[in-house]
Amino acid sequence: MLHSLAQALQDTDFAQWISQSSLAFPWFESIHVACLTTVVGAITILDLRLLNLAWRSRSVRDVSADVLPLTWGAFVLAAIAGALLFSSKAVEYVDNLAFRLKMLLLALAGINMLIFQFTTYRSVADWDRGATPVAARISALLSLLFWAAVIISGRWIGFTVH
Amino acid sequence: MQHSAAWLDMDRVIGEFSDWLSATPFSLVIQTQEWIIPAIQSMHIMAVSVIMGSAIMIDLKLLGVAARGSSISDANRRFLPWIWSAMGLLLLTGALLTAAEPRRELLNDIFRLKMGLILLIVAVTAAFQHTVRRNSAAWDEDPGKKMPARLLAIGSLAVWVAILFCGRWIAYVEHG
Repeated sequence: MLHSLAQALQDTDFAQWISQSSLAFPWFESIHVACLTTVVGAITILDLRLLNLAWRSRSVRDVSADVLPLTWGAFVLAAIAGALLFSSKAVEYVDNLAFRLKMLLLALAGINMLIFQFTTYRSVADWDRGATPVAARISALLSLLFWAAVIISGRWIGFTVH
Repeated sequence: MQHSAAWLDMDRVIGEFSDWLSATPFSLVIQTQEWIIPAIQSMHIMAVSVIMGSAIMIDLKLLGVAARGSSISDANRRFLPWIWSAMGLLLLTGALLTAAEPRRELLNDIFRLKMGLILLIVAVTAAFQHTVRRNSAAWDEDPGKKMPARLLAIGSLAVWVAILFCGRWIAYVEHG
């Protein structure tokens, strides 16, 4: 099922063009890296604020408002560029351990963010300006770890797919 | 590309240096332990992330579209130290990657372009930091500064992105 879907995707004209052109893959890859580093850099700013390690004079809600539009915009572009890269060798990627691990880690980063958003962050008005609660710090630390692991597994894909 | 005789001679010297460097025990360890290069590259990308996040926050502030209620000098105090620290880590990890595969980098036109752009952004960033420190009131309030500030924001972000693109393209061009 997964393989036949991957094969169908890889057989589309567009995916064929990416895999056969010598320029398409590096261009989409560069866009992917520019966007993913923006995502991780922006999230790191919020995580460091939640860990009370940086930007303590600005409220958590202000820091969120500063970085979240940038984070989401860059994430959407990184995901589109990533999907295009994926389509060019879909069959190989679905079986690749590093790729699977990266998808798992992205899901964990997303779940961590959702849990934070719908539990800890609901009481943000109480700790917006002071020290952040332990639950927020744990979410921030997990977020930093998951995103670092996303980068490592992403780089690892490049060394295992040819 | 047309190189003059002097350039060819310099490339030969760089090539000999590269061959010597890649035969050193230090370089050989990085080359032969398969996990080291991807690990260093991952650290390199994490440091790039810190720069992209910090530089975009400063540039959005210069464009007047983010961080309302804080000033340009606030943004500089907050983010420039992160940019300089990340640059230090990038220089270190970049030097290790170059020591591992000197020919791939030192004889590569895209690598040379990348180094030139890095010198440019270091000069621009240091000059920007210096002028904002000296004239913080003007940068934080004077509407007359808006146009140069916007050009600086767009220009410097374009240079950062060009450096990042060069980094990825080093892997795709022919080298000596």
